[in-house]
Amino acid sequence: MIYFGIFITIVLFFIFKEIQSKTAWLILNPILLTMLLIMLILISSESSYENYAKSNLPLTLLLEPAIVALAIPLYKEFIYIKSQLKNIIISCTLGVFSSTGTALFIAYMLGADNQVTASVAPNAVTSPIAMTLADSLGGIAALAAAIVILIGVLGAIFAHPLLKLIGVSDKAAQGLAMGAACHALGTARAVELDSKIGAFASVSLIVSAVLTSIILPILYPLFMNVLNSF
Amino acid sequence: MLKYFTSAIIILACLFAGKLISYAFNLAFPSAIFGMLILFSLLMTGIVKHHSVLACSTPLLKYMPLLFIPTLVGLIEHLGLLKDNLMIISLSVTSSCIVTLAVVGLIFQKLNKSAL
Repeated sequence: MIYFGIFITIVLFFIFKEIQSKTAWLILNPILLTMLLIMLILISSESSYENYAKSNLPLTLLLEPAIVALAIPLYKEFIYIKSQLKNIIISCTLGVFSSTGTALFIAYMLGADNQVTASVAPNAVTSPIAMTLADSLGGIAALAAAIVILIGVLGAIFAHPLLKLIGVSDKAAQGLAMGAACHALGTARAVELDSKIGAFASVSLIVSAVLTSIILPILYPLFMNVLNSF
Repeated sequence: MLKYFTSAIIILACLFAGKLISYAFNLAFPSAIFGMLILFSLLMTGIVKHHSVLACSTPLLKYMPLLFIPTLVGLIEHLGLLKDNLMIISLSVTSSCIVTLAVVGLIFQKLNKSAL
């Protein structure tokens, strides 16, 4: 029975992926649907998460090597954006401060505890990185990843109209903003919209992820100290 | 077969080096991201050629969502926490997303215009 857990993860994921590519509806996110269905299966069959997690260990162990492999797209994009590097880094750094700062500030003001604030802080980066960051700050990896994916689904639908509404008409700027705020799902949508928007979205997806990983572990303790001292 | 072996060794070596640094300096920085930065600097300096990593990196990147679904399902153990904090989480995260979209979009647009 030990193989059943990993079996349903793989099978359900590919089924939902197939359904999404057939319908092309952003809301039918295969990651989200697979997660929900497995949770339902576990609850209704009264199985423990622990056993399911054990069965899936081969997949979980591959996540860290996959994060290392993200160096490849970073390297490829880097050649492409060299000329605009300075402006991109400035914008994305400010983006990282606003995404982590706003989330931390509001969560703290509304009285969230450390587990929650540490899980909402990395909401703008791609899920595997948000998971490792939340975990290292004392948050809950699963919660951080779920938040990231929900934001991505919403962002993919609303980000582009919102940007046009506030007067961001430059395609490069639209792409950069979508990659910085809505990570992979925002980027996937950006690629659909326009190739230039897509290229800048994938650049900022990866640049923001790296910048967040550097900034957040330093910013988080500082921020909490300042807020706690009031 | 050899190319899978080589690329796996390169990726695992970078991950291991990242873990070693994190452990040695006792850093909060996630070690896998350290590993990514190490691989990135090896690619930039030309010590590692990017096609020598592709055999393993391509499938890893392609199926990355599959790799974190098991951890994501772990949310099942924190449903109470999620329910109690649903308001806080949705408010802080949606405002964070909107502010970030506006900040990055408007600033980059302005920087680009002044450069022209």
